[in-house]
Amino acid sequence: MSQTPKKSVDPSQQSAQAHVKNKPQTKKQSILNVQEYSEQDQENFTLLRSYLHFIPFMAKLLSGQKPEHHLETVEILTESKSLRHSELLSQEALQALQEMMVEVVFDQLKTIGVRKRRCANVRHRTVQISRMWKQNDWEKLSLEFTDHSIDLAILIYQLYHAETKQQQNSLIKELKSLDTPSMGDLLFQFILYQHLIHLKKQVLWRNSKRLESQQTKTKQAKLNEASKQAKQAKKVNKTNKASSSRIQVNTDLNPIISYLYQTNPLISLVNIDSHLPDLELDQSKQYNFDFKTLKATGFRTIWPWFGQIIVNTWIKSEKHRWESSSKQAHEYTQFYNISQRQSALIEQLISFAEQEDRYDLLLPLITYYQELVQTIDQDTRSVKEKVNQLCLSLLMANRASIISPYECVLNGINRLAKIAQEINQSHPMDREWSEILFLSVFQAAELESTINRINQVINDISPKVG
Amino acid sequence: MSQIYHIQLKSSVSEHCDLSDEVVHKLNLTPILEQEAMLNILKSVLLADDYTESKSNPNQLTKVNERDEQVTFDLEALEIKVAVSESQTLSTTIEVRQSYDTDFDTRSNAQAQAQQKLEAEKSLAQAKLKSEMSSKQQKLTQKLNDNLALQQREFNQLMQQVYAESIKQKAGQMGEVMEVNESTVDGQYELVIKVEC
Repeated sequence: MSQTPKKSVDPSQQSAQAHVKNKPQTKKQSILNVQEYSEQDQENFTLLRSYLHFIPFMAKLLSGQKPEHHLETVEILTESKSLRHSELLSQEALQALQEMMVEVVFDQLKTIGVRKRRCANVRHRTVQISRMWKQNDWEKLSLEFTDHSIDLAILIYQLYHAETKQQQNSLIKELKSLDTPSMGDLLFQFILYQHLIHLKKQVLWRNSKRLESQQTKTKQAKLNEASKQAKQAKKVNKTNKASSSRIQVNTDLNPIISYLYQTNPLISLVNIDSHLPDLELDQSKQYNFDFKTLKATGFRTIWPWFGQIIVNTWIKSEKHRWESSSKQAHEYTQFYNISQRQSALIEQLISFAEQEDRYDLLLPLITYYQELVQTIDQDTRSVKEKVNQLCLSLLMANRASIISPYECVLNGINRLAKIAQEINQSHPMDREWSEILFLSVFQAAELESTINRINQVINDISPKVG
Repeated sequence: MSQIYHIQLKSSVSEHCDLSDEVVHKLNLTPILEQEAMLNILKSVLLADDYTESKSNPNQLTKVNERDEQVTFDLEALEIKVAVSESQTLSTTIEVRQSYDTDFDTRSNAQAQAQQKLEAEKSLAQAKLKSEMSSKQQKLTQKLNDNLALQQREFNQLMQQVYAESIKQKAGQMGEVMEVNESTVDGQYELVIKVEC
């Protein structure tokens, strides 16, 4: 089939929420009316089947449910290798997918990250943020889904149904060659990631429960008569097969989850404590976040709101980190990895804001440190005690490498204070708008006690001479 | 006629290990004077306190203190390294006995069995020595950890001398020093300098 021409879509002519760039034009006529298509028109039939299976699949996935397997349709979206993915869908399927993506993604984004704040200035800001998303102002922010999102959705469908390792590998290759995503695509990926992780955890939980019940059944069966034992074993075998197919489904999601985690900086920023054991992450990529890539995709527009999500999840990860710290040696790795990544992110974010003169990007960090101190002080044990406990079986020489990343996380507040001091020294007339905003929020937050408390913690865990 | 013989094999197992650990303190110098002047004062304070310049690097001053800790001040990196080390050789002798009856067994068979037993005992003894070494290493680390506060206090005492000298020099730069009073009450050091500008 030859490649069909593409044309840009005027957002104003689309239905309320359909914003799609370079939408491919495939079939114009309604494909819902089956009688319009002859049996010879295999292409149209394929398109119809893809509409009937693919759209419900994505609907379930995007609403956080486990999608059904349509094994009979495996070939639908995999047979025409020469085509671009988005061209495998009919006009109707594309439109349905786009509308669903817009509704689901922005509906879910609205519900994440809005918090009540104490400080007067910050409270005012929060109200603005909530209102922005409630009124669907994203339309004004020119957020759009491009072919990248559609191709990704189709690849997920294909990977979910891939039966052989070979199929999987070729699909993963395609996954890595997708076009550069827009900010809308990054947000779609962000929501998709949350659902895939949720789904993966659900499947893992179900599998473990199933395994437990199988073991109980097997034990009971052993106690029963020999004939009954044989019957039971057959049943168990059947369940094993079903269970292993579900495990297979779960494993199939791993390449997508890893891909999203490592290529989408929004996901990496928020999911700082992501530590699913079987994800194959490229370790070298983990600590290297390129804020310039985000800048190119226009992340400034969503940053004030996205910063809220970062604060929420980082504080959550902080609590988790301390609560899970124990005397066991294997906990070090987790503690170390989170600290290392968090410290790298904070340093890169501050450097980026300084280079670009966008100090407003640092506002979420102010909230973060305030909340961090509260979290530390709520704990019955001191940070020093916890660090000592973590490092108990380590040589003193190796403790520094564990503690220093955490110290860097805390030290970020001193860098913020230094920035505020430098801005303060400049003449008010010479200040940029982002400097004025940063300084006013920093001063209103009255961080003096927070800074002192954090420096005290730093000194406790890594005392200095002098 | 049946006769019983005994075979006795002996072997010694030894493990040599260099145990060591270190802790690094960061040095935060309050800039009362220029950094270079502060470091010169620190160097003279250290030399007066029996520290010696390292042959390879004059910016490193070392001393072995009364707790057998090797203390190194690195004036370039602004770090103080406290290292402890210990060389240990643990050894033990193992012995196995094997008896055989000439009517039922041969000498070579019994010898082979005794050798097997000896090897098994050897590996057991080696594992035991290794665990003993690891517990010695833990003790060494614990000792270093326990002394942290003490080290901190000693270093801060040295730093107190550095700051006192720096303040005196600073006062000299500000004007004519009329009076200098130094006192320590309840562990609190007090320095009062009267300067006429």
